[in-house]
Amino acid sequence: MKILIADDDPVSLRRLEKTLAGWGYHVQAATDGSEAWRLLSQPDAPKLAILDWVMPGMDGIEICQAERQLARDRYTYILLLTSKTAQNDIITGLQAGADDYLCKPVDHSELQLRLRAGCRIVELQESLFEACRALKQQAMHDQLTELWNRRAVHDFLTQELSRASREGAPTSIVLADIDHFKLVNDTFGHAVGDSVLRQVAERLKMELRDYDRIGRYGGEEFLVVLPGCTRDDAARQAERIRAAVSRTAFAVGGVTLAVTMSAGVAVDEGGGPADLDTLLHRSDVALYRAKRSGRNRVEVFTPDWLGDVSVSLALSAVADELSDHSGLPIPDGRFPAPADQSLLKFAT
Amino acid sequence: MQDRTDSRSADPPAAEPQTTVQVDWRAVVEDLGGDESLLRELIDVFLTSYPEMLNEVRQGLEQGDMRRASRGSHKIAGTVGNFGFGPAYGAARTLEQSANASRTADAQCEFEAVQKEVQHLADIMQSYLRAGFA
Repeated sequence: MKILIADDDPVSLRRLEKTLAGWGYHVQAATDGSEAWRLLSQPDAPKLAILDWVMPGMDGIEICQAERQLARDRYTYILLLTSKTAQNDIITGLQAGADDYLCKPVDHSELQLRLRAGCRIVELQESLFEACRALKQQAMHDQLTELWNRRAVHDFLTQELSRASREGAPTSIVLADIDHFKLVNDTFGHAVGDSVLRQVAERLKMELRDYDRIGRYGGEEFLVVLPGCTRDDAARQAERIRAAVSRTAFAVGGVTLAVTMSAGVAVDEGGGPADLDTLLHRSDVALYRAKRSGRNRVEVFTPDWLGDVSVSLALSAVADELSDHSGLPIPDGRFPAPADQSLLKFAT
Repeated sequence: MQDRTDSRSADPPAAEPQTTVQVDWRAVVEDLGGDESLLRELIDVFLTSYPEMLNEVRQGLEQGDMRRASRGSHKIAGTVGNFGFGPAYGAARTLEQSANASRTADAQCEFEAVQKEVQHLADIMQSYLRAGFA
């Protein structure tokens, strides 16, 4: 286990360093409080620290207080070394956030046992944090694709719209849906369908910038949030997503499947109060338009459509359902191309 | 602290160093887990660093900065404590307490004792480095 030791007395520091190394610890040594705090502030900082109380820069008490004020998902076990032995001093040290207290000159046998107790606490804390991280991961991610789940991507979009509204920046979303996915499940089984979903998710992730977010929004539906993207940028991004899916066929369980995806884009230009529901509705309308126009394509929402599609949108779910249940033959594992008029007939 | 000296008195040091006091190096080595090379290394570190430690206390006293003097004497006590040398440790702790209480005159006097005891310890160390346990 990695351990930080801090003491401005070079003899005590060297002695402690050698002793701890002999006990199998990986030791980081600091010669004053400021250096100790710098090391503790690193992302991979030791989770066990032995700090002298009296040090230049920051003293051990100040480091304890600073450490405990930080809210972070790890715990640093602090053992304070001092020659201050009055009860008030001990109380002061523990109130500052020290976990344990050892008087100088240090009895190394006692130190060894106290460090074992410290290691147990650190390991228990790690287990707790790991369990919390796993729960958080489960609560926010889709188990199958490991993308964010509907609620998490929804929350992100809400926050992003709020930020974009304050900054007057645009936010775009892409609602993408795998074409005729039900046929995959019905024909090849859910295991193949799940594999397709995972592979599609991987391809979509590869096309995104670090600060974009993608979530599995429904069964075979994905929501992509593109912070700062204008209408044209979002249209290009959506097209990249679509092309990434259709470019090469998916090899799953011994079959090769040509899968396509339709996408609807909606843009909030920023600068005004953002309406999450409106934005999502618009992406839904655009997606419907893409489906109705032959699938495997991208449509960007235009306000002119509103009157035109308000009624037909209500029918879209039914139309898609019909198309997915059409029972069309699927020769050699391929799915109907966008130009397949018989399917389009169902979809419209 | 556990005294590793063969001192004939456990009293705090007077202004004059207890020049006859020696260090029981075998006991110190035992306390270091039998690692004599570590003892030699620690002695080297001490001999390199103690002049600066004394200087830190001296400057604190000269400038009336008792906090600095206290911190410096605290550091000396911690350092010499590793060698179980009671007279230097006791002198440094006494000085630290006087500095904490801003007893300037006492602290000036006690610093003389600290210097002598620390210098005495340094001399003992030099002898050890030359002759070992003999």
